[in-house]
Amino acid sequence: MCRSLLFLTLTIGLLSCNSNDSDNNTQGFDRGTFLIHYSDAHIQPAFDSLSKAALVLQQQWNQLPAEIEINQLKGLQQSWKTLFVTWQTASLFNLGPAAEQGFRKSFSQELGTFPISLSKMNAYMDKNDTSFANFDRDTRGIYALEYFLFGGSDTNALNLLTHTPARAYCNALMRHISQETQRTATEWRSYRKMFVEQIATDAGSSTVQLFNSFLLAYEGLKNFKLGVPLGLRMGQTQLEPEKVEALYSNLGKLGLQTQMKALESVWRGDGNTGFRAYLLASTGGAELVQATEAQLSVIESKIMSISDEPLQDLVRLQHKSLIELHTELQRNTRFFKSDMSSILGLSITYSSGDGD
Amino acid sequence: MLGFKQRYKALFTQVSPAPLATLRIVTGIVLLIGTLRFWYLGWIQTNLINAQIQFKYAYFEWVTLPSNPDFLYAVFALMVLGSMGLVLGYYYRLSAWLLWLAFTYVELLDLTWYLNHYYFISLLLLLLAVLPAHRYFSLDVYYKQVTPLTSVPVWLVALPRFQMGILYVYAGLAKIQSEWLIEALPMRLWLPAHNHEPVLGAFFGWTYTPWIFSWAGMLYDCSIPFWLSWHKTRKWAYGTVIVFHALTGWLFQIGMFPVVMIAITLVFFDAATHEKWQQKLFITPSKATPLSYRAPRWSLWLTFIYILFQLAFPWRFLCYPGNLFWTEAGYRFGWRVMLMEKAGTATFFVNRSDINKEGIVDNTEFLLPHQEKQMAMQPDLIVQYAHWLKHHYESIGIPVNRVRAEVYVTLQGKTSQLYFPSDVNLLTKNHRSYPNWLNPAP
Repeated sequence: MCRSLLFLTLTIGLLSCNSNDSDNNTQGFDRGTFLIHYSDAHIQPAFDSLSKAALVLQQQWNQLPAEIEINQLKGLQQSWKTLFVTWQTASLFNLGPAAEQGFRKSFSQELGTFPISLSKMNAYMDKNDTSFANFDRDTRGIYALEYFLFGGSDTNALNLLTHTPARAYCNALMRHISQETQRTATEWRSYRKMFVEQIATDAGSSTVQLFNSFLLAYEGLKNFKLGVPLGLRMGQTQLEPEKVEALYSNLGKLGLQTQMKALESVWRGDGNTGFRAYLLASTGGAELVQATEAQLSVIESKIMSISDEPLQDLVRLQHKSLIELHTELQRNTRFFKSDMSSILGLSITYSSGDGD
Repeated sequence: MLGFKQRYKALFTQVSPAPLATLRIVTGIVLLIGTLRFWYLGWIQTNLINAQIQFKYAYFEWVTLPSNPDFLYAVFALMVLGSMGLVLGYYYRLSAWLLWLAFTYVELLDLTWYLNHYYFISLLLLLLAVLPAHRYFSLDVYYKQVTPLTSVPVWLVALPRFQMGILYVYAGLAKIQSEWLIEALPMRLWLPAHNHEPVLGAFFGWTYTPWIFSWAGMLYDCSIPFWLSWHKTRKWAYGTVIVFHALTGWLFQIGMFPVVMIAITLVFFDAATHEKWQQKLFITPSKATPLSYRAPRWSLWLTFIYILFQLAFPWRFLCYPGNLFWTEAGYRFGWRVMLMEKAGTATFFVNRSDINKEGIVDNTEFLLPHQEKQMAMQPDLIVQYAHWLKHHYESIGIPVNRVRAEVYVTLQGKTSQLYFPSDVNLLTKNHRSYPNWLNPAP
């Protein structure tokens, strides 16, 4: 009887799906290749370029004479800019050795917190404390360094760097950034094996970690690079242009643009594999890919329409366009967040459910 | 064929209380493991105490965390003691009532943790608390706290079986719909995510597997209580129970549910089987003087009302218009499991009335990830959160006159749609009422 029941089930099952099996060929999607792609074509190269950029900057810094000349400052600024650009991609991957561990916050919080706090930095300089053994992440990292190298104007920066405590603090920043980026790049090399082998889709698996990190970075871009300076967050009563990213180097727009491109490139993968290919291989995914691509191109055109002035000025000058950009980014959140995790069958939290 | 009168009389046939003793013991064991697991995983702290907001069940808004949240540990300790009392049949009535009370209290603390099987356990504990499950094979008997029974009317044993039957059959009936059977949704979304599993991985990734799962699941749920009730198929059916629940437990994140079902289903076995293992595992209790249990007449009426309620309550969704999966009006407490893949993205806009400026809320500031996930797709939770936000901001001196939200919901993997017009002032809505302000289901 059991056998005939099974046979009946199979027959009904096969009959009922003959008509629409064209949209389903998921059985082949290979998360192993997917993860190898992200590790080898995105994450490792991003960590490597970042640590290389940090090293170049540090070496340049170490060769400086006591009296810094303007062309040397320009050189440092150029190298910082390279670091800043590579950071936009590397900071998307807060997973594995770059994830939060114990007292160490995630990679992007440890090195990428903005706005920085000048008052706290001054307090540490007064105490000659360059240990960074504290929880004030707004006193270190890439944007603290930016302050010393750009300082609002070149004269300011040159002035600032003649003071011994500032020089010592800057020295410590260089060392810290260099160490952290190199640690991450090196540790990823050994972490890779574990990363590419965890091909499950449950909470804590590599795919879910990557997805969460990607989503968090996207939300971070929307909220911190735009939302906060625009005063959109609940509790803000006005514009806060001084909270833009890269305030001292005036590179806020470049940061926004670069990171959006990086996010898009992560989502796209390489045509054979990646989130986009994974979606296309899943039930309902083609529709979502189409919707996402349409929205991404709207976002891109909005970004293109922003002029090249410093972002802190644009917050006032092109307020309406930036609000529109924020709205369009917000419209895309659902595609990355609920729609993508639903279609890919990813379990985002550890808690058990009804499946409902 | 038996007439009604004969059938009614048959309900009072005296049978051995052994199945009730087994039910008491396995329920105690499962609850003990479940409680300790919850504690061990740190969920008392992370899921309950750490939450800044508790989402309420309609009409149970008065259930709140203790003023000192650490007392929650005491509640869990009570649950541990209560479940041990169940296993041993020691201070049984007190244990069972306390366990029921503590478990239901914790269950009602936060709606976002709602699970069908928590509701099932609450009902089962209530039944156990009133059934004489301790008057056979228990420490209460051993210590002569109660006089042992040698038989009970069959309807007492049938009651927990009926409860299980309701769970299965209603879960099965809910699967008889085109999305589940014809489109194999959400199985078509969930199964391919397991194509990496050893041995069966390729099978999970195979195009037709979701249909096999959908149909097998529906047939299993609809019929398993009957196969379990018939002595000829019982053993095979129980084997199926183990395989089915082990498989779903392996594939889907459903926690203790499979263990609960595999354990409680034992109640379907006949008295002789229960007596056999009870005597095999433990020293046979000295032969008691024959004593039959006679339930008071009013208890029969109460049971009748309980049964009617259990049969009718899951159908209350028929009172509401619209797509049940979309509105979720009458969805809960209806044995609807594994039926839908639903997720939402919700952005809240709070308008402060003093400067008439709207601000965007960062949900992660207030909600646990699980709470956010659940809130973003259920209208009553969305309304509760809006009211909570007003309350929160006013408590820090920011007057609020409007909370609206832009919520996109995806159902069964289809591209998400706007859940309701984003200019609705959610402060004018009540979480107890039917959400007639939603956009129609896509």
